[in-house]
Amino acid sequence: MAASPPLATFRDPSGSLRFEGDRVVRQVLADQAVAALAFLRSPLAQEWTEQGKLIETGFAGSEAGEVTLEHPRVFFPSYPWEWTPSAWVAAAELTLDLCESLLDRGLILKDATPLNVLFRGTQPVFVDVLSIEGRDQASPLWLAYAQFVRTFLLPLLAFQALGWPLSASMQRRDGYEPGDLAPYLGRWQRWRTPFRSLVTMPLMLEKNAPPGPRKTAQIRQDPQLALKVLSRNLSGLREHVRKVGESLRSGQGSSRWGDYALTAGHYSREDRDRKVAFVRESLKAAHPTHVLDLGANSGEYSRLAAESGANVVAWDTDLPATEQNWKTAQERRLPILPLLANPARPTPAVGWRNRESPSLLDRARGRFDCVLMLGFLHHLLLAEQIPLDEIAALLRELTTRWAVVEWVPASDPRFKDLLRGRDALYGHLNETAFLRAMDRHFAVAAREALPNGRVLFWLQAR
Amino acid sequence: MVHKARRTALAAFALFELVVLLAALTKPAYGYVDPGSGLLAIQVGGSMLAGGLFILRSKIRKLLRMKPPEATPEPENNLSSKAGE
Repeated sequence: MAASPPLATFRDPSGSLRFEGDRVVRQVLADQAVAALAFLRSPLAQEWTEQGKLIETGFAGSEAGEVTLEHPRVFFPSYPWEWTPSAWVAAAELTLDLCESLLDRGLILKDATPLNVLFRGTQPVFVDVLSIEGRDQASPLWLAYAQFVRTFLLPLLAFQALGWPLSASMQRRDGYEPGDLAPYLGRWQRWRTPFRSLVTMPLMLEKNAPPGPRKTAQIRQDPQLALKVLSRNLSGLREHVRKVGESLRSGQGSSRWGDYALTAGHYSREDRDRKVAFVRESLKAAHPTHVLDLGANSGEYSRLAAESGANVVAWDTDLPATEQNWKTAQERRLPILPLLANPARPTPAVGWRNRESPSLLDRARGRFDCVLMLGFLHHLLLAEQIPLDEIAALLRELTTRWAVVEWVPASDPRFKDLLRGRDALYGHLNETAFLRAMDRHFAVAAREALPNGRVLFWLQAR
Repeated sequence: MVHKARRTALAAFALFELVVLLAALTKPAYGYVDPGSGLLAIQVGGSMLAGGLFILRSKIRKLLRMKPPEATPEPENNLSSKAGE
C-alpha cells in the first residue's frame, strides 16, 4: 500500500507549508506574519542564509492577503528521534544563536523546538521562518523559554544523567515536563545544577500554584533593561547546553561497534586495504551524487563516499559509533549526515494521522543513487532474520542505480557469532544464494573476493 | 570590586532560592497545573532578580565612579522593574 503523503503543516495558524514534488511551498497570512516577512528581507536573514544556518526563502507571489514563499528542499529531512546527542546540541545552539541575534532588532522566536531544525550534513538549518515574530520591548520574558527547556534541555539532560534515549522524543512532541524527570533524580542530584533550576524548583512552584485558571505572569521593565535581562536568560540556557556539549566531547560511552574499524580482528591489513580500494574504485566509476551508507558504524566508508564528492546519509543503530561518525564529519566539514536509524526497524510515520513526519523509508526511497551495505548484510540476515530476497528488494528500493555490497560467507567468524547454533536454518546460505536473490534487481558490475573469504560486489540496478 | 559585586549577586540569588524553597514547603500540593507554569514562574523570578541586580550594579558603578565595561549605556536610576499580573 502506498504511504499517504504528508499533510501540509497546520500547527501554526499564521501559515502552512506543503510539498509539491521537489518544491517546498509556504502560504503565509501576511497580516499575521508581518515581522517574519520583514525579517526575511533583512540583511541579517541574508547573512544567516549565506552561512547555511537559515533556509533559503524566495518570495513567489502574493494574493488576497496571502504571501507565497518557496524554499529549497533539504535533501534528507531527519527528526530529533534519529539525531545523535551532538546533533541535538548543535540544533539547540542554533536556536539560541538565532533568538539572541533577533533581540536587538526587536524580534524573537515564538517557539523553540528541535522540530524547527533540519540538517545538511552536520550543519543545522533553521527552517521554520514563521517562528520569528515581533517582541514586546518591555518584557524580559521569552515565552518559548519553557518549550526550549521541555523539548531541548530536559531530553538532553535525561539522556546525559539518566540514560533515557533521545529517540523517545518520537513519543514526546512537547518534550518532558519537570515532573517527568523528578522521581528519577537522586536526593542530592535534584538540588544541584542544572536540575535545581530546571526541574526541582519549577516543580515546587507548580505544585504550590493555586488551583483554577491561571493569569499570565508578566513583568514590565524599561526596554533597555528588559533586553539585558532577556539576553541573560538566554545565556543561562546556553550555559546548560554548553555543559551538555562539553560532557559529550569528553565522555567515553561504551560502544559495541565504535572501535570496529580499528579492531576488526577478522580483517588483516591486506583485507582492509583491498576493501577500501574496491569501494573507492566503485565510487570513482559510479560517481554517485547521493550515497546512503547502511550500517555505517563510525563512518569509514561514509567518508570515502563524501571524499568522492557525494552527499552522504549514514545510518547505524550504535549510538557511540554514530556519534563518532558525526564528530569526525563535523571536524572535517564533510557532507555526511549520521543518523541513528535501522533499516530493519525503520522509523515509522509520526504525528497527527501518521502524516506529519514521514517514515524513514518514505524519505529515503528514490533519493539515493548509490547504497553502501558493507559488513552489514549478515546482521540483517541473521540478527534481524530478514530473508535474502527481502534484503535485495529493500536495497533496490533505496537506490536508483548503484549498490556496493559485502557478502559475508557462513565460514566467517562474525557470521558464526550471529548464527548462534542455527546452522540448519542459515548455514547453507552461500554466495550463489546471495547472487540469486540479487539477480532479480541488480547486475554485477564488479566482484572481488578478499583473502578472509568475504566478497565485495559492485552492483548496478536493472 | 567587581568580585565583590558578583559575590553579592550570588548571595542574593541564594536568598531567592531559599525563599522559594520555604514558600514551597508551606503550601499543599495540587495534582493538576498548566504545563510549563513552573518553568515560566522560574523565568519570571529570575528576570526580576536579574533586573534588580543590573540596576544595583549600575548604582554601585555610579557610586564608585567606575566606567561600564561596554560602550552601551548602563541602566540609570529611573529604570523600573516591577512585577504585575
